[in-house]
Amino acid sequence: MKHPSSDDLEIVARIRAGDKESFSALVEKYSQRVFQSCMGFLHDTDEAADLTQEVFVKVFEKLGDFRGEASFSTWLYRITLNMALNHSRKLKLKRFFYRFSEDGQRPELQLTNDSSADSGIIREEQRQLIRKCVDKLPAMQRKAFILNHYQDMSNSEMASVLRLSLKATESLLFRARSRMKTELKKSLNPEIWSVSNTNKQ
Amino acid sequence: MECKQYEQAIAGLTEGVISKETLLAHLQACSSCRMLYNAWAFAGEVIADEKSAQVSPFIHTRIMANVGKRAQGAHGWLQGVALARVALVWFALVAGLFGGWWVDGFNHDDGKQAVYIDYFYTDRMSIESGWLNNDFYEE
Repeated sequence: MKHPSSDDLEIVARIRAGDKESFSALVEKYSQRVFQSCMGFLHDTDEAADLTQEVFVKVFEKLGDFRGEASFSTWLYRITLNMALNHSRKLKLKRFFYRFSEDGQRPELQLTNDSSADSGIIREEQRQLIRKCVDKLPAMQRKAFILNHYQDMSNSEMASVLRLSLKATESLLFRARSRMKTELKKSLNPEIWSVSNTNKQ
Repeated sequence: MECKQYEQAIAGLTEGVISKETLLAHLQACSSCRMLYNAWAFAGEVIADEKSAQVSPFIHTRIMANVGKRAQGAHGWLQGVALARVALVWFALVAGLFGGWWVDGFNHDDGKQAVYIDYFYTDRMSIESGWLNNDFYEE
């Protein structure tokens, strides 16, 4: 994350003056970061790309509301986190109904005798479990966790985005990691986790 | 030392409390902590994988196209509002003009109405004698 930049403010001023092509520079600069945050919430490249697009369109529409109290990037990440959180909630609901809409049964995994295929399936299950653990974090903890682990933000940067004090942010991140550990521990199943990490696909 | 403390160390919640060697020795003996260690390490890999995913190179074009469309839509809407205002002003002017003529047509007084009213409310005989004694009739 960049520190408050006069470049961004200049670009925003140009866009407000009617030069919408200047928005291109902001997209170029921040699209990858926004996409990474979206990935943290959605865990799917297509969904994250769609949401990235939605975020920038929303930012363009709401640019008039940007008062410059925080840096543009902070404002952008706030919008991203809120939209991503809402989107992931909607997606969760959609997936729930989709899962039970066909025949009321959860789809069973197709297990084969092929050991490499078994290992691949188990590895995918492990990935799903980890994603679920991230998704189970309460909203604010999840935001902090994603900003820290997906964006490599410092605590002070996170505090700015989350509108919290530095101490509160540190505490939030600690609770997020602790909750993540608890969720992970709950999901520990010897059948799944006995596969060594060296046996990766 | 209890497993809980090792779990805290695995999750990076404590720093410097347990040395790496002590932790590895415990992992050799404790399958539960070993599983958590594997899971935590794998979580780091999953996050790193997701983090390293690159946004589509077409996203920039898609966003700008969408932004352009929205901007055009907003501009079109504003133009529509401006046109609607002009049309409303013209409509008010035309309606005022024709409305005035129309109302005037209703209230058009050719003098007969006033005579009838005067005739009804005033002394009829004096009017009638006035008419009879008028120069017009004398001619």
